[in-house]
Amino acid sequence: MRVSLKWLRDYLDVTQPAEEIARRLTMAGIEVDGIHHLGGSWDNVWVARIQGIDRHPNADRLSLVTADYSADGRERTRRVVTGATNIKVGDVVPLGLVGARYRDGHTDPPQERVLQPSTMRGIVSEGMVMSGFELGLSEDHSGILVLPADTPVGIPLAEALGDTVLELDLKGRADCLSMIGVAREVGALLNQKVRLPTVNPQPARERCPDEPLTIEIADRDLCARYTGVLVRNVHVGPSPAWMQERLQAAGLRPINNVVDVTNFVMLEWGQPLHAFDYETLLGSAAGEGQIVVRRARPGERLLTLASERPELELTQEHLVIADGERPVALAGVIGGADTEVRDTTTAVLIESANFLPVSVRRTARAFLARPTEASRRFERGIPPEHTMPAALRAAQLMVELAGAEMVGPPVDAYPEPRARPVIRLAPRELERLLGVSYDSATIEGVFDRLGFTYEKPQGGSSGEDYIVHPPVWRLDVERAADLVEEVARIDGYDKIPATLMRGEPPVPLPNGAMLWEEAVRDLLAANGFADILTYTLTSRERLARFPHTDGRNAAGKLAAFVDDRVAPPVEPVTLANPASQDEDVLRTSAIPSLLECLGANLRHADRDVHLMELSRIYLRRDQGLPEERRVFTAGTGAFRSSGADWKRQENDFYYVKDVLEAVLERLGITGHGYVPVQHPGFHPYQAAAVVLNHRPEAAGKKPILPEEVLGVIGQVEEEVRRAFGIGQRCFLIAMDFDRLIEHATTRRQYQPLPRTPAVLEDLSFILKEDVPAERLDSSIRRAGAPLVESVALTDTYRGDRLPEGTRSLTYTVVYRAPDHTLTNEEVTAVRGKIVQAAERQTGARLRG
Amino acid sequence: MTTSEKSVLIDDLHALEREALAKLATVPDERGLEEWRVEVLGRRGTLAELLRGLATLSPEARPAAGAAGNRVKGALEAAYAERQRGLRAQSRARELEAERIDVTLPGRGVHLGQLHPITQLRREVERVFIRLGFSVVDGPEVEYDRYNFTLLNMPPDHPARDIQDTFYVANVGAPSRAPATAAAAAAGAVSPGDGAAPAGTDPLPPSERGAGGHVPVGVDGGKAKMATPAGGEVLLRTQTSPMQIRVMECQKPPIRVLIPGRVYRNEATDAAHESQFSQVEGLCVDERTTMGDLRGCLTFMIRTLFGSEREVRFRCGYFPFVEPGAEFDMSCHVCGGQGCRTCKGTGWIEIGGCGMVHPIVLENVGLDPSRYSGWAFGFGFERMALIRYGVDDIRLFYGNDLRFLQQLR
Repeated sequence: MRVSLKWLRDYLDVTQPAEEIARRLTMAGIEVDGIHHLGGSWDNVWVARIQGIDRHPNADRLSLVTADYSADGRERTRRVVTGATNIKVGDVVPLGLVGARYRDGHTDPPQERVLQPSTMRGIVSEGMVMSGFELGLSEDHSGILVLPADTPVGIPLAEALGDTVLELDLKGRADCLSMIGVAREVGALLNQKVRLPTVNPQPARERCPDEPLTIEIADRDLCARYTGVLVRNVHVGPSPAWMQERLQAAGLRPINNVVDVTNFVMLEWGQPLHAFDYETLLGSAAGEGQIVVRRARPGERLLTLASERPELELTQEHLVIADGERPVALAGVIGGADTEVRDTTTAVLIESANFLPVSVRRTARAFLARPTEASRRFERGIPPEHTMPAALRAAQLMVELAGAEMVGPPVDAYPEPRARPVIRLAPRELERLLGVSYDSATIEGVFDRLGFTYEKPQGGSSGEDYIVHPPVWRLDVERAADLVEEVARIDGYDKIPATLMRGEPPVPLPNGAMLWEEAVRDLLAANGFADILTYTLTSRERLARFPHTDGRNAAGKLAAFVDDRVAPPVEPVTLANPASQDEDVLRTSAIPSLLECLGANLRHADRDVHLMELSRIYLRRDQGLPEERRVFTAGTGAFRSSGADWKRQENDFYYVKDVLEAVLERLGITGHGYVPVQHPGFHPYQAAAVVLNHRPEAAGKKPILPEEVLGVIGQVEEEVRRAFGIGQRCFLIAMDFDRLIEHATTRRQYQPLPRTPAVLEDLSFILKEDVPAERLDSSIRRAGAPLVESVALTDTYRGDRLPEGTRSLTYTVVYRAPDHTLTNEEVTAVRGKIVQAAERQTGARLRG
Repeated sequence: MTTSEKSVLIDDLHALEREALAKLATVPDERGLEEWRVEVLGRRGTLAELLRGLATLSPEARPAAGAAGNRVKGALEAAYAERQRGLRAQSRARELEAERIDVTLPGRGVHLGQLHPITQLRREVERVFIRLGFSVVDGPEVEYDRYNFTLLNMPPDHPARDIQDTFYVANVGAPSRAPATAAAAAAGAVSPGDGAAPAGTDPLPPSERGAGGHVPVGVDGGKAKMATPAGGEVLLRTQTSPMQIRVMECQKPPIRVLIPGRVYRNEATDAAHESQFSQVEGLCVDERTTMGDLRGCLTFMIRTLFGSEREVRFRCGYFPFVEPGAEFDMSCHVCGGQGCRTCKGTGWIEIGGCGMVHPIVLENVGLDPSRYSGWAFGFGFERMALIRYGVDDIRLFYGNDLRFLQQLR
């Protein structure tokens, strides 16, 4: 809503600067988005009266105008040359002097110029009488802008025509979609009375029998009230400058006096009007002048004033205004072309009606890309009480401005007058909600300023409450809480104190997930990983860049279990109205976005690209809302810093495995293991499924259950990473974080510190390459129990000195007895058992 | 032995002392020192040789010569020790010098990670409200229309729905048969999935939890009263406010919760707008909590995050689910409220929306608005991060360029 301050002053003596008014409105909930000053560029332009017009001696099409802009007893005239023909002696016009800026329409696009001294056909022009176009007021450059005759002469044009427009961003207050509504609000804030225009046009005569006007509301659920006024002898023509000026300030284009009046009244009262050419309305039997408000019949069509979609096909969903035969307007949205007011129109039916907001909203949305000025207002709600004053105001203006006469009193169909709300407000309610009390003078002062009528609390048995009647235009005030806001905002929200809650404390709610997420983020961040946030919305194509396993056979089964955790091959949740085809589904995997991000960062970094994300994937379910599963995804490029001689060092599988192990340790997860997996997204021999309940000695014998799979870790397959623009090896962790949380625990068991010395011993074994090291490790532990306290790999070796296809693994074994110092004999015996078991179970041989 | 015999020995001792000391001064290293020691102080050394001559002296001459011998021996031993210390210090100095490094070389590069600026900010806000007795909970991003709009006093066709352009889901699952948990939830008989929480405190019944058990996401309809169709259309939540409803449906006042999370708007993206961003919602419901408490909590938060001199200002504002409603601003942290470019000359920076929970919303969740009052607020983390770090393009937050993220460690 654009509010001209000049127009606002028709209703209110506003003397405060625009900025102050804007601030007050904004604080009170009517947000002012912008302040536009019109006329800011009108230096050296004055209001002048034409004293004389003479022919130019050397040019037929030019004339010499003597313009008088005397003021304060100082006589000032200028003689200027003009080609305009629309002026006469006595007209009040803008006079630009040297230095005035104007818009030159002779170039395309128009250019801003500064008026220079000039001589036209031998005569010096001492200035320029100006058009609305040249002043930047309108697109009309057909003639000089003739100002209202009572404009004071000799003042700067900016004083006469300049205006300031406030741009309101209205979210809640539908009543402020009108000048009167804004005036009331400003009046309440500045504690000033509002002057409403006098509206009491008298019919020039009664309607004759041959000019019938009947109004029938067939669908009362969609139309509460319909008021019609007939005016005749209309002379369609341009509306006066003051009205055009106001419409333009509000952002509307002047059309003709009839249409302009309906728009003007809509802007003034917030009540949209429509003007029908009365003569074009068809009656059923009695002739013209029949109005029926009804749902459209299937198959009915309407040609509207909107050029974008001329012929609308209507259904019963749509409320129309019909005459005796056909729809003539889409109720509250737009008028029909057949019955519109034309230059030749002489009889006008003014419609001032009240339609159901939802109906108007749906109809407008069905047919128009953007709401109309009328539908915008209807869909936010308009008081039915406004139809009558708006209809009369329009009739009066048409009488005044279009020479029309009002015929007969308005015809008003208002079958069920609205029940106005009556609100009880206990003064203590203000304190209950706001935390501060208000005295009765403040409360009543606010009510008075806003036009709320009320009965004061009577005390005693008759009650402590105010009985409040909101004014008709405040449809948004329905209950006590609304009144509380009114008092608070008019008195000022500043009065609300800053306090803290006093009541009993609430029961704390658990959010383990949040704590676990925090722990993992902190751990990873401390270990060189950057926490990233990527988009939920993606496309199927982008998701497919990281492949699923196709094998659901025995070999691919584990890979399929992995997919089910971190990238289930399911139809993604799809948007009905995506913003782009690139973002039309919700991701079912967080891997692609992490790899995209890895690729993007590796374009400008050659090391230390270590990323992690804790996020969600969205998985459709047969019933109800999708599962939103938490996932933990991390990835690295091929290198990190801190290598020897300041060189970068290579990342490898074991580096990311350490990271994952740290995470699992932080989560208190134990008993898990790494099972080689062949998944098309990963290097076939450098990837592992991470599984629970892992027993190395049973590996390969005990089937892995889907519910034991936590996720996957590995080097990303080369073609796959190239699809993400990654030109170097990269490593990935992808885990079902919900499942990790399910098994996470903060429980830790205290063990007394040992009181007896330990014996440490390094045992080197030669083990065949195809036997997993974890089996040897497990063998040592089991054979050494209970005296072996810990086993740690401390060296590995491959080389010529070993038989082909084998490697050497050195374990540091710690032996300890809890109750005595171990003897050499005891250690020797245990070592013997270990060596024997290792050889029997894994084929490993103790190295010389 | 005569007196002259005695003085000859003493003279010899003195001569030996002079020569030995002179030689000691020229010893180049510890090996030379050892040779000197053997030669002079050794058992067969020159000193021992001379002292053997004591035995031949007459008993009356012996004390004086013996004393001289002892003095010379002590002096030579002391000189030896002194020389030894000196030589050791020299050789240690040489060893150390061999270990000289260039301390101006950089470290080898420990690569630090970092938390995303939005994560950091979210945590800071969470911590503020945890101090104020709030619990942090989260909820589903894919949500029923009913929770996102209808129960928040935005029934179908409410004009305020236009303000938030919404993504709708095309292929949602069949409406769920709502388990009969509503009564149980109301009675406080919900058994939490992880066994760690006191009964009746979980914001969502077990049927509404994700597989993780802790996680109140991936939620079904849940309430028996909203059987089929469960909650109308399914959409991507446009705000975190639907969790207000979910929390109030399951927990009795007093309620203090903070709900951070992702939200979605079908808007064109530019430097100031993203179609995905993160918000936080706060909700407090009690028998006597006021807009003053709201202002107090927000002031506490703003001062914690932006400095103790900050003020919080309420402006009247419209949100369908609060009444009275307000927008809250903070005094500009750049100029202190004098007016600058950051605050566009107003001295105030818009942070978010807030207000007293609308009586209709309370009624919608079965709370009596004449008995309970509540307040809620919400704001966007990205917007706050823009303000805080002076970032000029919101899209940087989801671009995850390490060169950007590392600036905001």
